[in-house]
Amino acid sequence: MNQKQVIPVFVSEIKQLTPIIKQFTLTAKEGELPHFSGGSHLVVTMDSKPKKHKNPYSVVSISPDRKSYVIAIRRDENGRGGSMYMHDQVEVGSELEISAPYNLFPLYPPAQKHILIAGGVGVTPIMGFMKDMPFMIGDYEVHYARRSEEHGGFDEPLKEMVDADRLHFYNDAKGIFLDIRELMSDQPLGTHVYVCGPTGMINAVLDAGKELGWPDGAVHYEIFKSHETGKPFVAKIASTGQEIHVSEDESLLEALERSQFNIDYLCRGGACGFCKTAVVDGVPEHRDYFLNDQEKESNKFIMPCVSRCQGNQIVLAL
Amino acid sequence: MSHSIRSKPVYTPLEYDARGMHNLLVGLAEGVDALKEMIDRAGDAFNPAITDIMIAGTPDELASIEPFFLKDDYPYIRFYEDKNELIEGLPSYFSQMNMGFRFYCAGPEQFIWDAAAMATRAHVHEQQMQVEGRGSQARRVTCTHCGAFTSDVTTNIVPCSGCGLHLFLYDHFSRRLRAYMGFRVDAEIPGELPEVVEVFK
Repeated sequence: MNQKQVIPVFVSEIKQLTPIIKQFTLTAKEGELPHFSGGSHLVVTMDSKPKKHKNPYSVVSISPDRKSYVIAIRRDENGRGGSMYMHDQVEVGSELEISAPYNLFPLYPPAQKHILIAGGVGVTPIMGFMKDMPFMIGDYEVHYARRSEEHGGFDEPLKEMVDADRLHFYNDAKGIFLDIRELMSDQPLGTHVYVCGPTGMINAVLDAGKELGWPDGAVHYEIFKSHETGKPFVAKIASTGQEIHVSEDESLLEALERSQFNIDYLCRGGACGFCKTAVVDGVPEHRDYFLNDQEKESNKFIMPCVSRCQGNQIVLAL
Repeated sequence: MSHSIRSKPVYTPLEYDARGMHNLLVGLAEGVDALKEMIDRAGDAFNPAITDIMIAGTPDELASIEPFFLKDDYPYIRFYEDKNELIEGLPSYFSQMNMGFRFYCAGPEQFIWDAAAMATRAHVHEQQMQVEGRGSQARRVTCTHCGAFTSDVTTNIVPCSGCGLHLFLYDHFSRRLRAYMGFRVDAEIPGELPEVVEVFK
C-alpha cells in the first residue's frame, strides 16, 4: 500500500446531518478510488491559507462505481481549525486531497459476536463496518448514543444498514443512557467489542472490560486526537544541530515537515505509530494513544503528530 | 537440536490473573504441582470461590493431591482417573463461561495442547488461557507425507503409524494440529537411519 499516495478529489455533495455534523461526498477527479475495509480512515489535506490541515476521518461508505467516498465531520470549535474549515469554507465543487484509506480499527473476523458501540460522530466507522458485516461469521449488535433526536442525523442511514432488532438507540436528552457495564456483563466467549465516540465513552468501555475480566485483545477502540496547542519549543536535530522552532498552534510533525523532514505518518492523530521518533534529550509531553506506559516513561520516544515538549527544547535522533 | 524454531512452545510458569471473574484450573500428573505453585505465588489474590478444579492422574497421584484441593471451598472440583474423560468434558464446561473467564492448564505436553485446542474451539481468547508443560515431553507427531498422527513418541526417529516411513521429529509445532512435524529421515538413502535415541522424556 502506498501510504503517501495523494488522491485529488472534489466535493460533490454536502449534507447537514445534525446541527454540528456535516456529511461530505468526496469524488475522485479521475479514475476509481481504492476499496476500503470497514473501520478505515483517510487523511484529508485542506489547503487552508496560511497553513495546511491534515485530519483523519473514518470512511462511511464508497459508491458502487468506486468514484466517491462518504465521510462525516463534526465541527470542533476548540480544534485547530481543520473541521471548521471543512464546515465553513468547503462547498460543493471545492477541491481537496485525500490519502488512500488505511485501517487501524478492523473487525476481527473469527469473533463469534461483535458488539459495536458508538457515540455521536463516532458512528462513522460503525457504518463502515456494515459493509463487511455480511462476510463475518459472528452475530452483531449496534448501540448508538447521541445527545437527542435533533442530533439523530445518522438514525435513518443506520436503520437502512442495520436490522431493527440489532439496533439500539440511546438519547441523552431523554435520559435513555447506555449502561456499558451492564452491556458487557455476561457476554459469551468469543465476543469482541468495538467503540468509537467521545473519550468518556471509550474510557467507560475500557474500564468495564478491565473490571469484567475481558482480555484486552477483545476490546477495540478508535480515538484520533486532534493536535492541541501548547507552548512553543525548539526541536533540535541531533545529527546536524539544526534548530526548528515549533510555534504554539503547530504540531512538531508539521514543523518537521516544514523543515523538509520526510517523517512517515498515517493517522496524524496519535494512534497509528508511524511517526514514532527517537528522542536523544529533553522530556516529551506525551499526548498519544500509541506508546505504552513504559515507553512514555522512558522519554526515549515521541509521537510528533500530537505530542510536544515539557521544557524549552527536545533533541530528536534525526 | 535447534531451538530457533519459533513455533516450538516455550513455557513460563502459570501466572494467576486476578482480573478473571471465573477460573478453571486443569492439571494432569506433574502439572498439578504447577497449579499449586501458581496458587502459592498468587497469595491472597487467588480466589477459590470463583475457581473450578479438574485434576487427572493415577489413583495414587489423586490420593496425594486431594487434600490440597479439598481444604479450600471451590465451587466445582472433580478428579479423573481417565484424562480423556476430562478433555471430553471441557466443551460443555466452556459453553457456560463468559468473557471474564480464565483457563489455566498444566501437565504433559500432549495433554495441555489437547485441552488448549478444546478451549480455542470454544472461543476462549488466547489472552484468557495459559498452559504450562510439566512432566512427560513425549510428542505427538504428524507425518508430512501421509498426515497420520503418532502419539507418545520419545525418540528422535519413529516409524509413522500411517505409512510406516521413518520420521525425524522436527521442532516445528502446530497448535492447530496439536502435533510436531515429522518428515522422512532416510529420503536420500532409503534404509540408512541415524541412531535412534530417546530424547523426549
